[in-house]
Amino acid sequence: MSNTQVGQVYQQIILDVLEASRVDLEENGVDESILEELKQGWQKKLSAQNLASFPWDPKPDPPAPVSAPAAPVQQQQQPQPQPQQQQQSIPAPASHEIPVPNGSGMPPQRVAPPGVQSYAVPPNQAPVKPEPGVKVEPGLEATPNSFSNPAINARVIANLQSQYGSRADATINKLQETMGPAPNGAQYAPQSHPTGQPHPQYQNAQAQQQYRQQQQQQQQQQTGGGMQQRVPQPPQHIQKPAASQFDGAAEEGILVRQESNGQTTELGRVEIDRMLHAQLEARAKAMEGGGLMVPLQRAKKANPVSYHRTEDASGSGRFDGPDDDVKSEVDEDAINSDLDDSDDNVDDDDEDDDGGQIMLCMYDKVQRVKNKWKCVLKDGVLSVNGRDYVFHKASGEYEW
Amino acid sequence: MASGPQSFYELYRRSSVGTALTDTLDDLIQDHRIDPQLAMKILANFDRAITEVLQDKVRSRLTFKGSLDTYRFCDEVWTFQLKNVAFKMDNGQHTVQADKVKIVSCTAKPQGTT
Repeated sequence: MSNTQVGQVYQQIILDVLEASRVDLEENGVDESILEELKQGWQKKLSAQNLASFPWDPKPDPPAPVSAPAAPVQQQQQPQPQPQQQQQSIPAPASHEIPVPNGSGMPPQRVAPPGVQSYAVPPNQAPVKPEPGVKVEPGLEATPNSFSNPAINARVIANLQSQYGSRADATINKLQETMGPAPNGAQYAPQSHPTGQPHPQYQNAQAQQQYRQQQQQQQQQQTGGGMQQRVPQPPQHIQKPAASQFDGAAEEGILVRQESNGQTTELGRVEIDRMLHAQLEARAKAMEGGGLMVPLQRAKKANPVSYHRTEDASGSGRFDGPDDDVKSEVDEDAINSDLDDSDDNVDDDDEDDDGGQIMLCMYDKVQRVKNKWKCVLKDGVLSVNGRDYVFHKASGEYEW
Repeated sequence: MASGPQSFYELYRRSSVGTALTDTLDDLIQDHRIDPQLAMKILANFDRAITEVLQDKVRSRLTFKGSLDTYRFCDEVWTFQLKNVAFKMDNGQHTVQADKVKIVSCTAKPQGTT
């Protein structure tokens, strides 16, 4: 019967929808080429279901030539949007990357406040370049380089004072002594030839060792021990700003690093953990919020939503620009979720019970006498056994 | 179930044409070619188009018999779950058997007048 009619009917529907939507497209300032794309996609999806023979499938009708280029057109169009998506979602991958280089010390730089971010600059500066060598070799750590710059010394003193107050006096005195006998210029060179000027270096190294011991003691007082392995590190971190380019903001960074070196990394981890946790939570929410009853397909659809939300939750504070995008995406999600919800009530039963075997129609009359039902239906679409049928009128009789 | 100044059922969006359209619109939205509001308008156009086309262009008749598993009448929508249904089309020349069919049916009377 009506299966032969289905193709015609569907095509009529498609044309009507496209025609009616033309105005809406204009109102939205969208190019009409979208209509053609919509038509291609729509017809392609229908053909893929093999519901009936469609006019656009085999015959060289006006719509039929369309079916041949349909595939390439679609393929051309798909790659285009993908970069767009990537552009849109750039903030998301970035936030995911953060946890990855965990051990390398990157997270503190990325996660830390702006003052510390400028930290990344010094490695490019000439005087600092030799430092990495110092970091790696424990023996060289004691070399005087670390406190060669009086500016840094002054800063360290200031830090110590602000941190420890009068308790740091001894250390500060030491540092000031160190500054005295060791003029600045003499100490920048020593790394390349450590034994060139033995005396001031030795002195300086000694002084620094003393400083370190004192500092260690202080740190042990403060943090309760366990710092011995970390002790060699504070000077390193003080070295970094040796470019002496930093003002107030950088000092905070130094302060944090100097005082609780191990803690900084831990802070990074904590932050990462928090982010991961937020992500998981958001994902769980998306799964739960969409409804426990949601079929898996839908749950998967909801996943991208969760990413955006995560990004929103964790990243909105740090980024100014992308916020708007995020918001618009959230709006989009809201509407989508509305759509999903309205579908869900129906689709749950649909997918669970009839596996796509469904008749959608209007009823004129539904009667029941005891367990016998009679109904008169009209204007319906029926999907059975993978085929579609349309009918103007249908009458059904069934027993309960 | 209805929206817009003159309302049409959204019922048919679940049909294969409807889902094909929604999927295509979804793709376009995902690719940021159109915004969701426009998609909603297009879907509203679809509601109207399919209703009118089914009313005006389709003349075929159908009878079916089966056993009723569950029925539900809520908000003027009948929902039947049928089992072992036989559809007869083309005045009985064509028969289609189905183990299970669900019928979702809205009232044909104008809405709000029952």
